[in-house]
Amino acid sequence: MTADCSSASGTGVPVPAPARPAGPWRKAGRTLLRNRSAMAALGVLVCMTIACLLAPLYAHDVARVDPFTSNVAGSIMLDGHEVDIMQPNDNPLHLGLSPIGPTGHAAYLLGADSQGRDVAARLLYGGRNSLLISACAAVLCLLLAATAGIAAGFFGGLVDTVLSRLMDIMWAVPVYLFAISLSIVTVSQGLKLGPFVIEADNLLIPIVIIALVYVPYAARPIRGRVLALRQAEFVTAARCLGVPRWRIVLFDILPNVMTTLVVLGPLLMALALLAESALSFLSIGVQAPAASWGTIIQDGEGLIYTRPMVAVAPGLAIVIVVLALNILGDGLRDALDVRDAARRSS
Amino acid sequence: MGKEYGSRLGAHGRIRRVGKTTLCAIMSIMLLASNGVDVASAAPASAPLPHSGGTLRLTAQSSGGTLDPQVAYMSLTRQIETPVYDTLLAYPKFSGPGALPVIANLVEQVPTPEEGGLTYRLTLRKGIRFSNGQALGVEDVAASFRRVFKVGSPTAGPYYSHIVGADACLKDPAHCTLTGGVETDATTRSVVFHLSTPDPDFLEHLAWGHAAILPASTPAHDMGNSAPPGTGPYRITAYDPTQYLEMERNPYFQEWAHEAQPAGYPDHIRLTFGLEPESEVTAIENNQYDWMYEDVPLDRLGEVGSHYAAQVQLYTLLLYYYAALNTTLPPFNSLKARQALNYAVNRHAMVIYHGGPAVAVPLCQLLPEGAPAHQSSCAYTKGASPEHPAARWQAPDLETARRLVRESGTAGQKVTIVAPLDGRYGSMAMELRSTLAAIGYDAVVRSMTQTVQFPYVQNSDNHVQVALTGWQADYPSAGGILHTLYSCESIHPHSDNSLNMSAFCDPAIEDQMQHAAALALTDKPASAQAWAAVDRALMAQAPAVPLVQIKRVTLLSKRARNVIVTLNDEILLSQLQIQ
Amino acid sequence: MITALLRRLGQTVFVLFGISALVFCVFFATPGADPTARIAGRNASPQTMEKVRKEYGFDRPLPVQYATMMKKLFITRDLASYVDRGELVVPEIARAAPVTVSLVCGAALIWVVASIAMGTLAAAMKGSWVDRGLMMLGLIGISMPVFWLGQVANLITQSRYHDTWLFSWVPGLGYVPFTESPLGWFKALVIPWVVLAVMFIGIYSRVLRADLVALAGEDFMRTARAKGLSPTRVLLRHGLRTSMVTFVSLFGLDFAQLVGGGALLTEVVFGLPGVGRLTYQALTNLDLPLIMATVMYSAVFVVLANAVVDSVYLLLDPRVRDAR
Repeated sequence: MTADCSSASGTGVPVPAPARPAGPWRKAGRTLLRNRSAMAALGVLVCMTIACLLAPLYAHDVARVDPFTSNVAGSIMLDGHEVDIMQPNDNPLHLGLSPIGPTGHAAYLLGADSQGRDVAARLLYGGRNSLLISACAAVLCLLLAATAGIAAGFFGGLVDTVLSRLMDIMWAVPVYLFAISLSIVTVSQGLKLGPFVIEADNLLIPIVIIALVYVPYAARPIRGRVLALRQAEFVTAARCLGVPRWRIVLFDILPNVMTTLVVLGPLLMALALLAESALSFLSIGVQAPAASWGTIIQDGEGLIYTRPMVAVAPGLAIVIVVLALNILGDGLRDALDVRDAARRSS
Repeated sequence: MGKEYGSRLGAHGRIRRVGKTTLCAIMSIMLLASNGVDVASAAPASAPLPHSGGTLRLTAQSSGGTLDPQVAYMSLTRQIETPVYDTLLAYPKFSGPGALPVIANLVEQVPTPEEGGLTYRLTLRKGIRFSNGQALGVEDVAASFRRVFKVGSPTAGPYYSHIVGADACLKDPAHCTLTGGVETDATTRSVVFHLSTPDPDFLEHLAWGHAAILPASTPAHDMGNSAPPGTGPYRITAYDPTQYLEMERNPYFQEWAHEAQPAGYPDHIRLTFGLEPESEVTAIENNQYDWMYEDVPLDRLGEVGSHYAAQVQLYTLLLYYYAALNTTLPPFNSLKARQALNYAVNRHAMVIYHGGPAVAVPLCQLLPEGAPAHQSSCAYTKGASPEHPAARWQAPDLETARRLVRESGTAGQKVTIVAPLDGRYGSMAMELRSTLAAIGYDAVVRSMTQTVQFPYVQNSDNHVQVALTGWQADYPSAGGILHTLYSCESIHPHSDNSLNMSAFCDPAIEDQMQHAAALALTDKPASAQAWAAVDRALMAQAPAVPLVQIKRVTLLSKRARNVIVTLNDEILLSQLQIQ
Repeated sequence: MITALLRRLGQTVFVLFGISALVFCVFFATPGADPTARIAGRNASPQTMEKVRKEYGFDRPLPVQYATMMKKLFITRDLASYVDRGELVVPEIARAAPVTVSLVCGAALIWVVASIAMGTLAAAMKGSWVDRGLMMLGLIGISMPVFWLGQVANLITQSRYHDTWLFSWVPGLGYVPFTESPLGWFKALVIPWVVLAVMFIGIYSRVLRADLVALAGEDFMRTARAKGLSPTRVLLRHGLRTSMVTFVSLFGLDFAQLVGGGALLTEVVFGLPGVGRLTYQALTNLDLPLIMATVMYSAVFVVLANAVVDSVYLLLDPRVRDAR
């Protein structure tokens, strides 16, 4: 790297100073951009988000269906034939009807669910709700967990005891009972919290509930890491230098806890995507007929024996999103890792 | 798994037979000492019926609840206890045209109402014993009726409050005497009921499971997990509410009336709790169980109908789904709005949600098919009106509906449908929501767990506009359904128990109901006509939106034969032959 | 040592009290949760409702009802369910506990072994296709709802392929006690174990891999490598122990909530009569005594597990020991 300036300079001619090395953030950015799988993952996520945002376009112009109205008695035109959406089963007792399966055409591409609605269109609409709720819940959870975990691990003593017991209570609390109770309370009028009235279909409710449920899950590992870090040399050094504690937390502890946060983030999103379906089952958050990937999976659970695609399609969507996020997270972690950079440069 | 259970039961049986004579000797001495009843000896074993024997394996998802026959109100428990307990009268244990009126069971003959329905005389049969060896006497009958009040049976008020002394018993159950209400004479074995006001369904009430006759010594509190002795062909020997229930033959049973309480075929009956309906279907297909309590899930209907058609049991039930419209809250305090919803709802879609026309029929009136006095009529379909009802439901009439909504001036109002969480209710609720949106309302659906939804929608404090719910009749009776659901007396404001969810009270229709009820004592056909007229009059006022009446679709194992289905008792489990 | 133990015990009691009071208040604050109408029965007359109200004490003030319930639950242990009247909840949970413990321990063994294997393999071959493939497998596991997976497992093993040599050994759904037949116990639990473990394998292997990779740059790891130790030895003996901190924290939390009845959907779909299924029934019926008992049972495990995990930290990462 060092140019062989001595040979060119001769005697006392000023040597141009080497270019200032890029700052840590720019370095991280460049590392990330060079990571091909991470960029591919980012691309997949962006495509998915755009597709979900274009859901009304798909439903209206491509598939020409209304994904929110029950359409059990209706029919569609396929290859010139009129096909009932609910097909009577062919058996001697004429028992039961099945929704049509994947048609491969623009209308009902992935088939219909038990209410006769287009699964593909609902998948796109559902993506909006699911991605929004799970992303917000994961971010909120990480924020709260990082605060709680770092505080408990770093300060120790009474703060640690109180926070740890609070986490115990939060983890042992029967969330489902609270959710049932909340769903009943918000039936006619919403939940009144001071000047705010929160309706049952407010997406903040599932976001907050899911975030709070997983705070202990994320906070305890963070607390564990911080407990170990507290005795690291650079922290001791900083303390001896008289660096205020908040600076230590922000600039020494937090970067080292980043790994855990970056790994837990996508995992929390996956858990949130599934937890959200349990809540919408109880009429909290996403209200039928609005869709979310979790609610579509639930509809599909009653159709496993006849129309498995209804549950498999949103499941696949969740897998793709979670996979992409994890790869992106890996890339981010690689780009931001302080120690790794040192190793790379040496 | 079946093998293991079988061997365990076999061991029990062996132990029982070894100690039987000793047991009987002890018991006879005890009984002699206690109440001077003649010496009890085990009934001589009658020749076993052909095809009898074996263990009948049943499966249900939910737990059994309490086993006390005077308190238990779950359909599963009632089906299980049909061959365990007896009432004074009973519904015939065969299906067919003659199977509707009640017949004599523990008594010799069906009584005729005397003094305008205020007195009923019955004579108790001789020679019937409980499963603990004790002989049935008139004192047991009187004690059982007192116990109905002491134990707080749910139907103590609705069904047995006409008995003289019942009011005092309801007010102070612990010291219930029913003096003047139930008179017994041990020498003639006669039981006389005195009523303070005529009860048109009194015979049916005597056949109702909560009037089961138990030994007089049965404690006067909910027996919970320990079933009291009964007179039927089986007795319950083991019970863990979340795991299993076991029944064995009652050694003291001798068939006294084949049509009222026939002897059973299986030697043991074992009911296992906890499997999901999907798993139940698979288990029966794999020959692990003989009968499942729940309906076959919708996505298995095709499989079951094509590969196991011979094992499917499809039968009519007095069970239907409807949406109760609150007549005290907007928008459904307007008659036109209620009629509009009745016109607009697509009952064919509702049929599809339950598995198609083979399983469900659209219901357009408040009395289900199979109920006495049911006369098929539909006022709210294309081309019909309350003044000129059609015979059957044809198609929804959205134009009339929208016109009525406009005329009522309620268009655009917010409507909340409160529905249970169960899958089929969810589909029906969604359909209802779409319908309301199509005729001009801003509708939403709120679901909650079923056990809470049912009391929730009854309580006027919750201001529920539309309640999606179902009704299964206790016994076939027009009055039992219409009076319970739409009479002014069924309105209890601020209470979780107010079955008239519509809060519908019309004095003219109330008079019609009383007239129809009074006719039942003297002229049954005329009473039926009168109740049918009440049905039509109620539908003209549209306090509810009847949706569908469904049939039970259940799967039996390949080896189960002799399936007898009655309207009141569903499948007679004791009559299933498995060998 | 003793004081620390006593302190922890005191905190446990505080936690239990907090949760029970919370559950109680939430229950009675819910409209429609009043059990009187459900106990009295459909169409019960007002007098019958009054009788039930007095008999069960629903007319007393809430703190009195709470104290009575706690007394019945912990001291006299005769608290009975509202739905299955006569069924005592404490023995009911005691009967169901072995089932849940069997299910959760077996699943935990599978997921711990599998995730350690997958995580270390993926970390050792970081960036290769093995790494990507293993992670993908794990993440598919997280994304599948457990109820759906259980239903599909039943569809395959009990219904469609039940008669083939692959799955004919699978017994009917339900639980076979170990004392009755160890082989039957094992056969009945294999599929539930795998289904329950699948979700956790994804999370744990991912977390372990990330920690191992992050640790690779640590000084003590570089020292070990500089000493000339083989990469396997470095990874397994030096790296694994310290990177297990996150793993162990999560395991403590997950194991505790599963044993306390968190595996409810698994137990429901496989017909296992465990604490999870009891919890599910209690919630479906809003049966307060059973809810309270299962919540207390679960809370005890959570607090216990966290205490154990805190002491395990000391074993894993010596730096934590110094911090204390």
